Amino acid sequence: MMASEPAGRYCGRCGAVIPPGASFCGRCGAPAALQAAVAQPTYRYPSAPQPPTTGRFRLAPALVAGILVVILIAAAVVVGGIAVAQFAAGSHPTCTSNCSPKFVTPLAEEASYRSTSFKFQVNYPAAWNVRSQDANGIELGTKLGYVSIVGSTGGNVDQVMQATVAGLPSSKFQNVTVVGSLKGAKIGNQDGSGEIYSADFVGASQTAIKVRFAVIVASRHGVTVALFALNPADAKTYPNGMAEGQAFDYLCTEFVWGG
Amino acid sequence: MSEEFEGPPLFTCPHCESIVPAGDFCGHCGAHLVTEDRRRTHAFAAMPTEHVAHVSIVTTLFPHLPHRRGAAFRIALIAASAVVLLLAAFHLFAPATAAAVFALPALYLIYLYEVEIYESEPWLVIGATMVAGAILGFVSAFLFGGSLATRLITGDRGTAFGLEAIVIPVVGQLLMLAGPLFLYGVRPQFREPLDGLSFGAASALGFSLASSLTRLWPLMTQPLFASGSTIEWAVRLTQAGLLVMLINASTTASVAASIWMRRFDRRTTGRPWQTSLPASLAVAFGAHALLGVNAFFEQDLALDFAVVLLAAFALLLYLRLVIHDSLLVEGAEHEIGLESMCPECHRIVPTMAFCPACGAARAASPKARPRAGSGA
Repeated sequence: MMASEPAGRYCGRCGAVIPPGASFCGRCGAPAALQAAVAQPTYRYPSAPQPPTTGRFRLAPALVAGILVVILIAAAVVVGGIAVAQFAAGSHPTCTSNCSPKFVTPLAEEASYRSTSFKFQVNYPAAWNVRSQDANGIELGTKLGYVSIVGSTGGNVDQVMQATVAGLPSSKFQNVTVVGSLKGAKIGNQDGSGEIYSADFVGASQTAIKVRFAVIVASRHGVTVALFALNPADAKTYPNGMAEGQAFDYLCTEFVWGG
Repeated sequence: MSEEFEGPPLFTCPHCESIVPAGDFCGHCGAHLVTEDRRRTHAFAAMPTEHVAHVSIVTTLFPHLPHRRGAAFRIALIAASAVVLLLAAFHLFAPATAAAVFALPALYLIYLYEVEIYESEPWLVIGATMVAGAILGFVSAFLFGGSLATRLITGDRGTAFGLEAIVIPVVGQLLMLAGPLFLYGVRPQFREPLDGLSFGAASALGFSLASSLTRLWPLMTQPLFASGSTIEWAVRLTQAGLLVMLINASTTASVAASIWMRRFDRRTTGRPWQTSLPASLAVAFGAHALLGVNAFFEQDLALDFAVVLLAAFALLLYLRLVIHDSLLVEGAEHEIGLESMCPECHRIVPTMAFCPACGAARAASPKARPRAGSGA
């Protein structure tokens, strides 16, 4: 039934069998001269008399893929369904408590920035950190979010507002949706236009959070100023879903136009 | 059958100096006798037809599967990818995300059932690994994910960097190891390194499922037919559903296998340094920290994806090295048993730590069937 086998030629690098007459190993390409010394008798063990059948396994091969696909479809329906239902139930819930208009109180300690290009001045809480500033505007990190005030010459208020939203990096801001208009939006004593948006902010490692941002634009004497304010969304507690809305209001109220 | 079996000649293995049956491989230490190669890196101990340096998800994450069985799992993976792609192609991003993050963990559950690694305690093992991992993954992503994103918004880059490159990687890796370490403490009967490896992989897959779902949840709460770039979503789903899973499973399984190896092999010398516990810990925590740094500084989605892809392949290869070395170490107990069919090559061979014909480690065969066998 079985017999000892004469010593064969084997590749000295990878161990593959080298056919008679071959100059190189068919698997790794090593020269046949590099064949290993066969120091002991090799032996051919017999194959099992019956080929293995599917009965040896707990699950039939087709069942493995079948069960997995069923699980995935169930997960897609249940988990995906919950996510979609949560959206359908309203991802922009209205404020339910503590929602009355706030009295805007002056800040105890404040810092100020003055644009050398457009001569406007803006006061902000000293606790906020300056992320960048130049002659045209300033970017600030707030306690919970971010705000920028940038001036430009000319330009239509609506166009500047659209450009501000369109300029957001799409890799970070996804599902940007208008939530509503800000009635009576002003920058300083100048009437303007304002809108509140919701979006998903995608941070490092693809971590996403719901955010709200406000864009307020006003124009005066050929200078257009755009204010962009961003907060993690908390629509259940705060008007417009922005916890620092009051501070942003103060920023607009205390804004001083140049000239 | 056994009566007809004349038996192979015996000889002394030049590597372990044990008296073993003739064959291409030493049945005791697994050395390739033909090439006199003790490390036999050309013949992966769990799947001798593959090189150790061979990128394969199925034969690495599911080392107990005989190679003929691997095809069913490969087809299942392809079918799962097709389901995810189909959903994403129709802009059903929320269901596609759910399907993507469930694919590998669900397949792993099927694998655990198929090979019965848990022996008589399926609920304890699955609860302590996959379920505990999922709970810890949710808590971790809930606590750190929002905090990290808020700090990125406010521009607090110092704290954000500390979170992304140090806290989240270190805490995440420790949490993924918690379940396997619990089993290590309370169930000494699970003593083989491949047990630890499987528990580590299961815990990491549960953790990755829950943390990915939590991190991506805000993006999933959108209309059924959602807007958004299909390419971006394809990259995101591949990363969350496959690459992050592979990375977490590889690092956690490597560390767990190294821990179990200390229980199994009590020698203090002679172990390969590259798969020792300090080395596997350094690889696991180092890889997570480097990926955290990359995620923090790399803003380009494609470049970030490329780095994660390379890391996943490299860690998968490292895991294969750990499996290979673990199985070679498992040859410490010497016994020439009755003839039985090798699950890999289906030849009738003396039951030993390694098949003398193909070199497959018996420890890598399913527990569902008797490893020693009773002959053909």
